[in-house]
Amino acid sequence: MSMLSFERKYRVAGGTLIGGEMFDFWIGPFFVGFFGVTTAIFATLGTALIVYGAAIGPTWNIWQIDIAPPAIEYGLGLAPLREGGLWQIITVCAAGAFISWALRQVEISRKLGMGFHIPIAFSFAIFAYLSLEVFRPIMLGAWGHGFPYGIFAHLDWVSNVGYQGLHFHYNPAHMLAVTCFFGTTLMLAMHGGVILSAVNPPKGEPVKHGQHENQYFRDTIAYSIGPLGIHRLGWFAAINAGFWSAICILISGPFWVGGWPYFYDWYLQLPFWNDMGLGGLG
Amino acid sequence: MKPISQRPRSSLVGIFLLAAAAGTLLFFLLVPTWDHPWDPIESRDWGWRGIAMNTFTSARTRNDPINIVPAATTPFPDTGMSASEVYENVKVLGDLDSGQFDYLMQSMTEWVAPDQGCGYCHGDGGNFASDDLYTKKVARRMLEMVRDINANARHVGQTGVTCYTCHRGNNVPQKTWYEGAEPKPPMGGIVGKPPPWNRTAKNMRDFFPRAPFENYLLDDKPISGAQARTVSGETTDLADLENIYILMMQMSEGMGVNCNFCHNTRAFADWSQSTPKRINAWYGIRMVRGINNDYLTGLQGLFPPHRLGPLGDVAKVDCATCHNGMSRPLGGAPMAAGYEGLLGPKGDRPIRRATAFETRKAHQAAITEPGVDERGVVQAGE
Repeated sequence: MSMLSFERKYRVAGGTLIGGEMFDFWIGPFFVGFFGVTTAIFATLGTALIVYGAAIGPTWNIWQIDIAPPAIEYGLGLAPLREGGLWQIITVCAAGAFISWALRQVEISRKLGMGFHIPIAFSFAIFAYLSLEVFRPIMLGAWGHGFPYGIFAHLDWVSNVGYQGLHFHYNPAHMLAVTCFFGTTLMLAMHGGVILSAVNPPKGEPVKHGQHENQYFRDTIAYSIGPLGIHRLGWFAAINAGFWSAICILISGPFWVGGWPYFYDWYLQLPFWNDMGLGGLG
Repeated sequence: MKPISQRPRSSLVGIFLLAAAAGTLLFFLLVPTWDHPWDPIESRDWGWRGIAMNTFTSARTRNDPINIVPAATTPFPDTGMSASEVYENVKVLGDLDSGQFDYLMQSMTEWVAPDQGCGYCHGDGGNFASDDLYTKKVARRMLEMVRDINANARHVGQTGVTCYTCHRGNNVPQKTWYEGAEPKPPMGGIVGKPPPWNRTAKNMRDFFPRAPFENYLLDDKPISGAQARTVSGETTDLADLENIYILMMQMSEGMGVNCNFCHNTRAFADWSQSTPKRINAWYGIRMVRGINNDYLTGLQGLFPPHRLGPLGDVAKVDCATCHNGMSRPLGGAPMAAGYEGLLGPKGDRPIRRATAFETRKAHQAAITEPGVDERGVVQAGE
């Protein structure tokens, strides 16, 4: 793996959280570090266990392989390997690998003297995963509420969990999460669009820069948030999408067992409706 | 310190936004009713592990006072004389031993009119044979209904129902429904006004449109085709789809369960992927249609105006009327045990098949009764 001429300048020692100099080296383009090692161990073990689970399962059909959590009856206890125990170990491996990866991002950021925006953003994705597989099952009292590791199986799980709330679109946190997901992708598309259009002028025109980009949005919507601001806003919307996704699944069951449309009884009982003199069935 | 004009505005805006967010959060924490994981939440599996076919209960849903089973009472000893030998004008229970008859009458009072007592139906004049009050005529018909249900409704089975199953100590059961007036001007377009109940409903059950109940629990419109054609092979009108969705939600909410109690939601229509509960629900829908058509609508002329809906129709039942938020009414307590008078003759009335909707739109009579296959799973009607 060759290195670019200026790349060596950025390969500085130090900045590690654990392990000191022991793992402070690169393999090819990849920084290793203590958490690179743990990521590799967790990811390899977890993947191997998924393959093992498929091997002792009924099918090698990639769509139908299913490593399911224990039945509800096991509660928060350990289950036999073939009855959900594998799922429990794989979940530990997955959480270990994801968290290791985030800490490796921290180490690299420290090496480069950067802020921690990347590991913070990634940690929201980890939070969403842990909410689904660990926090919500604990609050509901059984590991069986986690989603299974299988392509069709986890889609069936998503469908059924949605219908546990009768109509999941009425989940208020789901509304926020969806808004942020669409919001951040819209912002990314518009930001990407304005950059690409500035550097791809018609033939004969010079390449445009920041003030043209600002002016485009001032002309369009009277305001440009600016070259730094758009990344702040996009980052904010993106981590809020992940955060409210986690909240929407954490409240669905543990904090509201009924159908989400029926959650809104309180809205119809707000006192100000009484004073509006509205006619009706009476 | 910088001059005012050079200070960043963003701190003020930020403070305002943070305060607004905190206020909204506080509102959502305090105003709506929430369940809590420490209730605790109890869950049940209705499918294989990992498929998330679970239903839940919380302290809120488990401890609703409406579902407290009343204390058991002691039957009166038999007298050896039939009710018609002792009393005049006994039309339904004439052959019943008068001891059993008295016991049932006392129980009915507790179930339906605990505050008003015997006089609620029999008047205060002391003439118990009189049919002057509408309440007595309604009660007689309701007695026939309960006897029919206990003898012939497969949905109820051996559990048995009494007046209390629906009434819970009220003159009129708490969860009933009336037909809804068409909104004026009609719905649709940006000038369409919301239907009247949207402006007066105090809960989401009453806020939902009435068409689902009217179409499927009074009329017998087919409840099918509510999933994409690729799954069910059926197509449906979008308005029908919405109505079916609402009916199913009202059923679920009325029974304190969710879609997964009966369905694997990847294929709602497929009986082979549904739980056995769906079979009982299928019979339940037909029982409700029978109750509404054969018993309740026939009483319309008896009731005084204040008991009728805005269109002059009688209060009708849906799943919630009996279930009151439990998958089995009163937790499956055998309420009718010990009451001979509540068990009518077998075969009095078959499961309702010839239907109001079929009469009007015979070509839409698509639902056929599912047959039982050797795996014990009911297949969709062929």
